[in-house]
Amino acid sequence: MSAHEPTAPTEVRIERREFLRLSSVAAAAAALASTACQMPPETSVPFHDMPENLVDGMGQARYFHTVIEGTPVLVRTREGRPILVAPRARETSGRGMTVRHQAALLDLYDPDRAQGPLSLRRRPDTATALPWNSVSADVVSRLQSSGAKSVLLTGPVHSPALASVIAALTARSGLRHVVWTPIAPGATSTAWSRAFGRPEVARPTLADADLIVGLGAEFLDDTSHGLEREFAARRSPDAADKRPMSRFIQLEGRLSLTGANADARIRVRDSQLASVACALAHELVVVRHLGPLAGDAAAAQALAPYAIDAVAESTGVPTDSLKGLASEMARAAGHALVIAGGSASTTASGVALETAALVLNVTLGAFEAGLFDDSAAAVLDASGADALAALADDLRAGTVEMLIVAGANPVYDAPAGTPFADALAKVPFIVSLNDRVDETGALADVLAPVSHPFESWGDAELPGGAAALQQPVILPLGNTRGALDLLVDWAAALGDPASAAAVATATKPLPAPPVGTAEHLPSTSLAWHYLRAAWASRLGADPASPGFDLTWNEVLRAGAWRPAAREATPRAFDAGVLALLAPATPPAAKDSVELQLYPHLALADGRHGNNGWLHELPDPVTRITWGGALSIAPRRFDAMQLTNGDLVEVDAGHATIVAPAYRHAGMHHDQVALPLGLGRTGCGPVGAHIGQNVFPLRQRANGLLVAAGFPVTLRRVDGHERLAIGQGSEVLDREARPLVPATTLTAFEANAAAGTEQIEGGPSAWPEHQYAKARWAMAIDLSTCTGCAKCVVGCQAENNIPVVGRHGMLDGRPMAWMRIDRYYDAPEKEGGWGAEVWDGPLEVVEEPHTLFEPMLCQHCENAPCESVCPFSATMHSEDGLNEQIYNRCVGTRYCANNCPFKVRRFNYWEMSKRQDSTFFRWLEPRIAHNAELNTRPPMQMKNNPEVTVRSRGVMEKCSFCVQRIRLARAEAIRNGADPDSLPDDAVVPACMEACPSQAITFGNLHAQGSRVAAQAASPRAMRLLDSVGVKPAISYLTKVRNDKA
Amino acid sequence: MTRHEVSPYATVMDDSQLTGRPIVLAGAGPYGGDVEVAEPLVTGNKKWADVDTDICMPAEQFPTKRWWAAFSVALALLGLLVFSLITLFYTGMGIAGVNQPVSWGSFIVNFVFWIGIGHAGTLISAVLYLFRQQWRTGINRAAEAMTLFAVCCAGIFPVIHLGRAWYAYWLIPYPNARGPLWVNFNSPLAWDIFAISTYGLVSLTFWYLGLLPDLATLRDRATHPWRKALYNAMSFGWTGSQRAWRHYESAYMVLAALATPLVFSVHTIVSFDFATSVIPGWHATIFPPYFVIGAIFSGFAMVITLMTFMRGYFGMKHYITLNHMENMAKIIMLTGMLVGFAYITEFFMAWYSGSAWEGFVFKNRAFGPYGWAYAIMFTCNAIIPQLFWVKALRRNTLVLFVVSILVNVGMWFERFVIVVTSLHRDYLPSSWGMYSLTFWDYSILLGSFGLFFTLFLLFVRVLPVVAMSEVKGVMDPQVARGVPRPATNPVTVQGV
Repeated sequence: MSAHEPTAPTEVRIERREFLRLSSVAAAAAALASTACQMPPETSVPFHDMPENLVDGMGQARYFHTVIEGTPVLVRTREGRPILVAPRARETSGRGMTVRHQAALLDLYDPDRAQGPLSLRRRPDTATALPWNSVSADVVSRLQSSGAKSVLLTGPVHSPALASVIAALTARSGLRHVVWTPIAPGATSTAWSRAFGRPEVARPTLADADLIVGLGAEFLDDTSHGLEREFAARRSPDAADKRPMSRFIQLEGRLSLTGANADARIRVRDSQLASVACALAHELVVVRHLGPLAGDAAAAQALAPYAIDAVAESTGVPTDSLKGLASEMARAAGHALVIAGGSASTTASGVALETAALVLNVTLGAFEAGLFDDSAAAVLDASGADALAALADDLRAGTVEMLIVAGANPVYDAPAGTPFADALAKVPFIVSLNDRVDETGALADVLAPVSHPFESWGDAELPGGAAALQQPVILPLGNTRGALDLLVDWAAALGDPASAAAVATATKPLPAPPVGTAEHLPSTSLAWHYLRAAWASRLGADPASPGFDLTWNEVLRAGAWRPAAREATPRAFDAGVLALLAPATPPAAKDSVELQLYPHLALADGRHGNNGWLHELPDPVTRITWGGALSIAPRRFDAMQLTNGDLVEVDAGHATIVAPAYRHAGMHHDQVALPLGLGRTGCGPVGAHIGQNVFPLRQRANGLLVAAGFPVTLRRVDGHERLAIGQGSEVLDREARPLVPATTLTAFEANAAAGTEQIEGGPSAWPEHQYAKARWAMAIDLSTCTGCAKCVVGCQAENNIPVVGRHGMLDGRPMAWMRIDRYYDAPEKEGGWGAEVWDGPLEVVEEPHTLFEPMLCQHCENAPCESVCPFSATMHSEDGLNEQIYNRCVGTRYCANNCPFKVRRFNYWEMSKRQDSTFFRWLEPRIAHNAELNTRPPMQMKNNPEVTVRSRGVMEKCSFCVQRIRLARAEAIRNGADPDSLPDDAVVPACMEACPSQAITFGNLHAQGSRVAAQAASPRAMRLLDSVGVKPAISYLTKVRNDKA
Repeated sequence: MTRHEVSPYATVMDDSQLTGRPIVLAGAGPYGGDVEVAEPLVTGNKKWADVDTDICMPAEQFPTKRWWAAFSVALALLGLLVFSLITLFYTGMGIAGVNQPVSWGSFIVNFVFWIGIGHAGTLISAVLYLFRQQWRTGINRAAEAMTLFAVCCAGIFPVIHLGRAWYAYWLIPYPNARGPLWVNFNSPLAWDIFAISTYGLVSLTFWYLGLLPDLATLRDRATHPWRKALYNAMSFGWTGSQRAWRHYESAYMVLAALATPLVFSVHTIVSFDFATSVIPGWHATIFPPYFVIGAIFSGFAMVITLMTFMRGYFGMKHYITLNHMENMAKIIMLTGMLVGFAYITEFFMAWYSGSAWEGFVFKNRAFGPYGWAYAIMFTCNAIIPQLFWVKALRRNTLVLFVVSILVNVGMWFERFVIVVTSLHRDYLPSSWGMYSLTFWDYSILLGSFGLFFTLFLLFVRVLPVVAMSEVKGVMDPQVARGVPRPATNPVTVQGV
């Protein structure tokens, strides 16, 4: 029992009612205290702009600044439980929240995490529990006896504190530290180091560029650098700051999310991108004499083989496109930026590509124009592929006595030629610090599971020398320990003074707090003491001084610490880097097919493989959920007479893989692509055996990992695997179905309402709604929406949306309230397209113009769903919401049929509680799967208590986050403000909160001067399906494509 | 033809002597001309007493092996239904095939299908009664029973298709303690409740009223005291007095007049489920007449199917003659053409309206992924009944039986086409999807036939399947009284 427990005074007579009241309070307090749903005892400090006079517990959520995987995020908690991960919208930290960080919430409550240390002895099926003491004692004694023959294998270390403890461990024991990053932008660092003599890569300031040229760029696919917001700032043709719209041209082989956002796209195979980039450089430097390299003989010589005509000839890229692009770049010099790419840089000539991009940037004067922000420069993660290979050799040689694996999973993701599983057999003692018995852990002797980042203290280094603290938002749910806690403990045992000091202060009894002050709970977290000491020196303060608490708390509140602005050292371009321009391998033959292995947008390197939200998030471009597919260009796909899901064998020489085929619009004809990060076997039942593990197809060359541009042969094999694609047709003929407002900049300048033309409807028989007070409405700017799908995950977390699983998607029963519709815009055609457009005709899908349209309940004024429900379970509120009343819903599903937007979702299964009948679980295995995905404790703890958990048989849909609206109203009433005229940011729905590009605006349409009213009145605004007369509350603003070359 | 001459009907012993054309009595007119009389509605030279014996027999003897065979099949299917429903209620709608764009599937298809089947009974008993179509007497009892059982089958589907079927009673507007939770009268589903329950109740009353004299006959023939008491109670103590008959006849007439509008209202309102929506392919003003005609069409097809069984399996050929069957075939042909006309009108309107949404839906219906279902529908409903232009085919029981089955298949697919193809591709191409039936959809569909045939076989077993009192009224009194046939026949009967 905690000290908070109310006790009845013994001498006082207690009435029966009073007794019952007290005992219920005591029981509730005991229940709270006995579970893990608590703040950790070390004072963690919430976000600094919390509402005042906050009463913790009932009715209010708290936001905490913390860090996950080196990225600062906000965590929303209710009653001591984290329930949502949100981005830090108010700053650009140089790191951006990805969908993985949002979904990390689900990992926290993952029942498949190990609940405590296990003795595995390489037989996970006979694992037995171990006490932490014996694990630590064992490891420490081995470090003491054979430290020099021990290896610590970790993932990338973003925490300075962790790095210093590891350094102390290696110094004290001779431990070798190997870092392995499965997906690392290696080529970028190499090129930048050679070009500027230092490894930091500056951050492109997309908001200042008029022309952005992407050479396979994937900055919208991999959002960990947080560039979307700046990119989007210039994508609206009528931005508030009056800056003209930027133009983005992408050269790539596979239609990526980034490419789907481009104004123009040129299809170039990955392996030929370097030559094409050099051709552009040749044109600018040698032909047009642009930039500082213009007169440079070495440059001219290095670029000599890349005359545009020759490159166009050898690569098949049209000469006109390249020449046009070059002259456009030349015109925009000083305002143009070149970004080379993610997957495209992982070819054997990746360094050449990155170097060519630098040459182009230097030529265009991007550095002088300040289009690269050096104050936010960061050292990118190195892959460590060579170190991993060397480690594997050592393991095989038997020279390693102990291997500690932390945050790495080489058995799953090692490249070809590094057979890790065999090598591990030679190591006498293996400890895994991962959170579960994964592929590597299955071969370990001991599993010492570390806590989730939300459960433990830590810190992170941010670009530009800034740093952030990782504060826990909940006590560990299992018997796990923070990574930093564990390593500090070991380092202290080995005699590291800093660690020993942390241990000493942690175990020292604290003096009683002065009378009248808040209770000061003693901290037992070693990491907390260690961090405070480490940060004291960073902040230049004494951790023991009373003033330090204030400073420390201020850092926690602000979320990050920034050093005083430093003078950026100017970059000196070393022309010697031109030597790197020569591609490592000759360009591929014209007719060969090459393979690209790209990180799965949601799962990336697969470490979150057991996360249902990530598996269920449709890939923005392919729309595939629960697995991946071999992307094949439409023309080749048709020639092979495939249908989506037919199995195709990919033979790369050193390895083969069989995967279902997918007709990928915009794919280069000679390229195919497969996603990395799937095919886990040891992550747990949610994600096991979903898709194919293609990591073994990667190869190691010159210290880099080659994941693209290598030749493969395709062979159709028997069999078919249904793809769980959460979308019907791909192609939209806007002439016949004006469902997405879209236009070009030229047309927009002639007529601001271009692209919003609709089919006219007749008069309405319904009386108009009178909204006396407020009318909630939303506006979505399709020009700034990048289709990143963070709104989808945010909505799923906020609104307790269950995971339907692969079978649910195949059955056509997704539950997501918010989805991103992706269409390929069919060009205008004489006589119209007719019905055949739905088959994805080649003239549409070979050079597609992609349209993304977030689709959610439109909260129609004349909602067709409201009139047809016989039970009145869906009603119109007086402030314009289309409300769904779960208690009243009996499930006729008539509303879903009558919804023209098909945004209503029905609970076909009981997702919120287990159905336990053995017979029916046998009869219908989907019941057991649903329980596995949703109802295993502690999964329910993720649920937002403000949102009803729906049961089987009821309809649900987007509520405009009505819980947040009602909360804001209640707060306004408490504060004596008018609840009917809330200011613009008083209500932020979860989708808007998660949107990195601020494409979503929400507010009161009837409030004077509200942002949403201004947007709804914009000539770009279109409310869908005018002809049906439903009058949606959501206005879509035209997607404007900048066609002005 | 005078009273003392022998009736030409006495010589018509079975179907083989029926032509479907009038009997010409040469020289029988008052001035020596020919007289045409309709062929008899009952064959086999039946006496009034024979009618009682023939029709009461199944209820008075131990069931035959044939009956047991049929009943056990029906009961097995009913068991399948019960098991499927238990599974459905325990596991949820997830086991059915319905999904995101197609939220209504086989259950609603079955519902509309069975409601349609239930149309012929009241049409035969009420509308044909008012039009004095005497041939209705042979089939009206069974057709009305069919109606009731079809409504029973139909009635389960709107309930079981609910996500939370146990709250279905919330649809009944009565003062309650749930708020009170009231019904949304804007919703066609609320109208359905009234339309169907009214139809079911009136049909039941009408059927039972017609049964009263026959139940009294069963009572009078009964020998076992319990049996006698039971039938007595069921016949409400029918005496057969002049007064009773007079009241009975007027009540029957009034009920017939009341039931007639219901024939049109029920399916009209069922069609509103679709017509009042905003979904292209559903939102059409043609739906009410189109649905009513389709319902009569499918109802008569089902009557033909059942009558074929009654004739062949239960020996009712003398009371349900080939002429009855031919008459029904004519109705099938007429309504089939009307349905076909509706199909074509829909296409015309889709084009004529100029609505792109509408135009696409109909193109997709006929040539999209469910084109096969549309082809089945169109062939079975609009083309195959054209066979009945040929009289020989109208009078061929095998052809009749096969066509009636095909029409029922076609009408099931009509509902499938309406429900599924309109939903699976509507406004937003992103939400398009496909629908297919699962094992449980099939088992519940089959099981509903089990329920139907179980009820029907029980009906055949315990109640008179032909309205004895009415049949007696349309028999030739001379034949029915059993006046002996003279040695020579004074008139030449042609065409026998």
